[in-house]
Amino acid sequence: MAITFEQLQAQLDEKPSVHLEVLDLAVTYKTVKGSFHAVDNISFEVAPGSNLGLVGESGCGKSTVVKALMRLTPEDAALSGRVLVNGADLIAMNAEQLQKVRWTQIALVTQSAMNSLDPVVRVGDQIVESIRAHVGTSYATAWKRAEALFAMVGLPAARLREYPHQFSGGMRQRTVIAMALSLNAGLLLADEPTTALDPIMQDQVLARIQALQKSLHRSMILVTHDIAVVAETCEMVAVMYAGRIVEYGPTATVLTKPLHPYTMGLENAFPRMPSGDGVRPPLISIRGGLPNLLSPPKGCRFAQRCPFATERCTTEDPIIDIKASSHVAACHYPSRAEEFRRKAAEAETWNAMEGIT
Amino acid sequence: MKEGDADEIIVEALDLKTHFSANSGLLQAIFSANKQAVRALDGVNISIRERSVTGLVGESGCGKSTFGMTLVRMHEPTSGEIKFAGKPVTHITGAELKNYRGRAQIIFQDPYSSLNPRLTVGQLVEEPLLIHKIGDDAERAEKIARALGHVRLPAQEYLHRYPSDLSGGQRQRVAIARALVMEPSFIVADEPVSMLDVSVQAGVLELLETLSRQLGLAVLYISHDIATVGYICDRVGVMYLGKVVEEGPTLSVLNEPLHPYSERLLAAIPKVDTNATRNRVEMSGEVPSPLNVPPGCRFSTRCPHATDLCRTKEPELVEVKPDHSVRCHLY
Repeated sequence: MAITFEQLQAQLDEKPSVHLEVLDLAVTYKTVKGSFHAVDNISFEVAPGSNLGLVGESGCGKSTVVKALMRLTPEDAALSGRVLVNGADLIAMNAEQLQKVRWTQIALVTQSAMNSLDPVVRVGDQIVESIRAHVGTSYATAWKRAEALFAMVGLPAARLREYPHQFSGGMRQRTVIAMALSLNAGLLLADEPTTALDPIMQDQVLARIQALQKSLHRSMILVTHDIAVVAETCEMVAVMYAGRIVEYGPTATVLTKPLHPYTMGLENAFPRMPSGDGVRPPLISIRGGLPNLLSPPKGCRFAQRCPFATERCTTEDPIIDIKASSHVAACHYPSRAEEFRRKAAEAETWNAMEGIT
Repeated sequence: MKEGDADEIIVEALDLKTHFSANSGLLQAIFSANKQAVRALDGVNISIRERSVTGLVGESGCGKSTFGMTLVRMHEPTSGEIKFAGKPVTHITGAELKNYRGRAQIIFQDPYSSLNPRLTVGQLVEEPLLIHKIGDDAERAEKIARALGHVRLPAQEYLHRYPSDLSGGQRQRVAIARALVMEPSFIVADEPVSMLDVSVQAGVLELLETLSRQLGLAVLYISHDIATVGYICDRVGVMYLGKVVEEGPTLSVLNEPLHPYSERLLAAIPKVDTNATRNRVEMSGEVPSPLNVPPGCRFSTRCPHATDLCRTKEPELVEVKPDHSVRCHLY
């Protein structure tokens, strides 16, 4: 039976926040050359109403994590581990059970808004479709909800009748965000939601998402390579490298007192705005490239590019245990972090490494 | 030229305009009474000196790429003048144009699509020399090795490799070597690091700056990432809807922006420092279409300080601080 707009609204407002626990999640692709471990036994947690930043460079597996959390990985990808959404294991679910979780409990904002909208369907109809796929409601009620969503993301309701090509990039991205918010899902997965946008539009879209998150008490995983965006948006951060989480902790601590040399390198390479006197630490790049995940090196995956690597690093795998402490890193030498941070700030330390970026 | 001498102006744009016809079809072209034009570039003055990097920032669609492409004559300017080493190159054709294109090179954003995957690094770098019929085999080999040396890819190791073997940063280095092999005096770098990972961006940026100093190159660095501009540019221009609204020494522009648009653009950049609080500035509206440029100041439709004067009369570029000019009625 179709429900009214008020009933729909009440139903959505009552939705609980999502508590997400990811335990030893692994995504492996079978190729002719062997198994490719895109995501290799990672664990993290998103508390209800909090934001987690997932940072790392291209190829580190951060987008694969997002796909796995929506169970959108290709069929030939093997998933293992547990993804607990308020206690229910997503990995063990069948198609029917998944349908009840997708979009209603976990919603996704992808990077390219252009490709996520149907060019020949009016944007309003696309939002209506996404609502009616999950809730038994009339077209008119869903349209009313779409109008409310457009108001939330700062777009005039009249433009619901337009087609995607009539929208600018920023408006399309906001449309996709409106769609992801349509059922007030407890957890929002935002995969580089603002990377394709200009600085001004990026700022406005992020401000909008943040305000909505806060007022609706929703959780979010923000995937990005921009640590400044994470610094401003997320309470917790997980730094990924070569399919693994190498550092995990409260954003402020991870950014000011990183434990892992990769995080230190990433921070030194990040361009900053000049301060008043124009004095700024120099930009330092990390030499070398990602290891081949078809045959990952023994020991720490960052060892080849790490200026502090010892013999132990190339033989023994560093373990990261997120339960051990609030701020953890996959490094054998957390006690030497202070010394590493000092040396990592000097360009010579990294330039002594082999390889060309 | 010796160190310390005043560096000469290599490239100069004088009231440069590039408009594109927006009449799409034949019928429209015949019957449409008033011809519509996309005013992508609408009167830009910039001079770029040798041994210097000039930055150009702005939102997408503001005309910064059109400007770069017009300077190297990939687009035909509608009006205005481009001077190269003092001589006008605005409407040159044939052999003269080919010669100019050898001296003024451009590097594009995406090193994954700008390099032919079927050519080796050596062949890629040799291609411009073959097109311009420069040197014999031995001379070319020497030039290729020198260009690869400049971008720090040792020739003996990289000459026979294919782009698919290279990382994004290495590919962009090959693209830079392709530009350098012609021994240009001017390079347009259009978003050269925006497709690269943060950890390798630094290397390519540093390379561009060093090359400009070492080889005396005039570089126009086009980017929407304002933070990177601060690292390598001597001067920076802020573009809005086809016009430069502010121009000056980098630190002066980034630390004390004068134009209300520049202020907002800079305020929108997130800060890494988690203790810093940033005042978010809401900006109303969207960038107007270059098909329909507002009268008076272009920014008046979104500017909180706009007056009637702003909506009717276009402001001139005035020098407010030493060497730092702005196009705004507030000053």
